[in-house]
Amino acid sequence: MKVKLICSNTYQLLLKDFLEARDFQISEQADIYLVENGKEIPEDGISIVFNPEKINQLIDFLENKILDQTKKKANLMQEHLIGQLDENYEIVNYKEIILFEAQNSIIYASTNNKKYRVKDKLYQLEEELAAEGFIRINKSEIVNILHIREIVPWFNGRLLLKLDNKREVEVSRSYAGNFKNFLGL
Amino acid sequence: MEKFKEYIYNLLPSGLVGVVIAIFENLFLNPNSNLLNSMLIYFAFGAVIGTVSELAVSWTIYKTSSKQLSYLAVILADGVSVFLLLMLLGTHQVYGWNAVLNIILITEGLAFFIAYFSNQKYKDLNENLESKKESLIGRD
Repeated sequence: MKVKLICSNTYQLLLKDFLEARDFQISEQADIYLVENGKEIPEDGISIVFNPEKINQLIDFLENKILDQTKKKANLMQEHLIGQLDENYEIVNYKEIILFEAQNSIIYASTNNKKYRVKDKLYQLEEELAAEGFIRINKSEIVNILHIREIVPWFNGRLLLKLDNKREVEVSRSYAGNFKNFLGL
Repeated sequence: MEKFKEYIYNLLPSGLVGVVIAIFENLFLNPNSNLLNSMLIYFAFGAVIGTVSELAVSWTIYKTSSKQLSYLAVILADGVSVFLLLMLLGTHQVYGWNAVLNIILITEGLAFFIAYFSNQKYKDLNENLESKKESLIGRD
């Protein structure tokens, strides 16, 4: 986020250090103006007027409000991954992904009607997305629990999963125990 | 080859139940019985009942999701396969049709139990799936 400081040099240095350390950019073309009380308030954009005697209050405000929002936005971005579809790249929300599968060492993420190529390894996705409801079901597939329509006990200790996109995948015998634990059985 | 291995893995434990029954019969009920013969015959029965039941339940649930139909399928499939096995072994010639009927009735009882436990497993899995989904959605 770009910020312009309209204040005396004493506060300029302090605020510049504070903001730049938190990934803000000090710029003339800014979204937010920090204006010292008594200085001219710009007509455009958002201005925050502060009393120089209470600079600590401004620092607390920036830390608690603006930076908190930035973190939330960053967390929101972490709910996505970048998928390659033909020559294009798209942001895909994890919730849309039904299945990750490895085919000839390439990892694909399948949604309801698209199949993206992703850069992550299967074991990385397995670790990172367990909390999002993704679980490994065999050597080459990770499934999103939210997109399983039905589980059928299958032959020889395996399980058959019917998915939302009409696909059917098998939980292999060696992964069936872990899968049941994940469901709380 | 992989499918064949899977059938063997499934068939062995079911058949071994038959072997245990043969040993039990020899030790406590009929010490004069030919143990090897009994073990082979009981192994065949166990393997057939176990394999056919699991196939019938899984396939019916997969195709219809119906509990009632899965009971019917297991009872029919086990009844027919054990009847064919009895004919192959000539049980009716040696022990008469009464023995055939008794064995089929015992088989149907076993088939009913297998269908019950398979349906229970199906129900538990899907109930837990739904509650897991709800907990994940509720968290958001």
